[in-house]
Amino acid sequence: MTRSTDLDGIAPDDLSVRSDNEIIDQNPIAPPTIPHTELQDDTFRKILGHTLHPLSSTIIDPDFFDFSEREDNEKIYVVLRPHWFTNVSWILIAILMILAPMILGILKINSPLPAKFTFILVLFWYLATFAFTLEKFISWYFDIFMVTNTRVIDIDIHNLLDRKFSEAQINRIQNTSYHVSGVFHTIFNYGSVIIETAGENPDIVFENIASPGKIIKLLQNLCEKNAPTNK
Amino acid sequence: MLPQINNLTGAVFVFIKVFIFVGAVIYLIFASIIVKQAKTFSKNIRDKFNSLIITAAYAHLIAAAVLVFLVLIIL
Repeated sequence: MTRSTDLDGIAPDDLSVRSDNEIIDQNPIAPPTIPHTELQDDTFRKILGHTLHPLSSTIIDPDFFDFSEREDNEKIYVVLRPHWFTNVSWILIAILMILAPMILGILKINSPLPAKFTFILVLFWYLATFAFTLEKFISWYFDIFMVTNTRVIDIDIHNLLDRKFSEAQINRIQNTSYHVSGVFHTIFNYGSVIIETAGENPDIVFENIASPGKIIKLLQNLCEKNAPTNK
Repeated sequence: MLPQINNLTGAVFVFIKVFIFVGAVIYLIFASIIVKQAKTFSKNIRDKFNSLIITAAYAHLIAAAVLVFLVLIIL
């Protein structure tokens, strides 16, 4: 289920050149700015659907959301988090961890330690369960992929001590593709979006995104809107 | 033989007490790291549930501190 779309034709990667061949931007770092309009919001909503709640894995045109590296004129179009189904495994583990002491009690498996030791260990167990749940939720909540009017941003958090920030300017996107593989991925329609950029920058891969095909379509749409400013 | 067994049992319990206490202190450090990370993430990314996450992280830190206190008092 891999689909690849070559955007090189609509998003040339190097210099921005006017139709009369006059170079208007020689700085590859300076990002182009796509003027934000209500029409764009409608287009994105048409592609991605509507946001239902703040914990949704797809938030379009967020009112409240912000990030520290945002530039003054930068407009956030879409915020994405991993698909909700990726949380099911740790939620089940957390439920089992909560139930484990009760199950041991029901099975009448008593601790060989004195009651006060058992009490402390049970407290410790529930605290560890809470920490596990909190850490997993934080890892999901702050694992963000953003599309703005100038760039795409990927913030990966694998655990509390492992964080990665990567970005690509919209006008440097050369190729986008997605990969949906696996039973649950196919049933719930989530997978990886791969964004190849010009130059030596590594590809940006955003994993476990809901409706990756629609994200590709959105990026194509943005690149098309960006194209006239480069020609 | 019995006093020896009791002594041995006592030594085992002392070892377990020290083990639990050290574990609780390490856990307290871990809880403070969670608070630090939650605050750092919330500073970098601002969203509706940030305050809730920071509150939960602090509640966890306080609970970890209470656990250390309980280990000292109860055991």
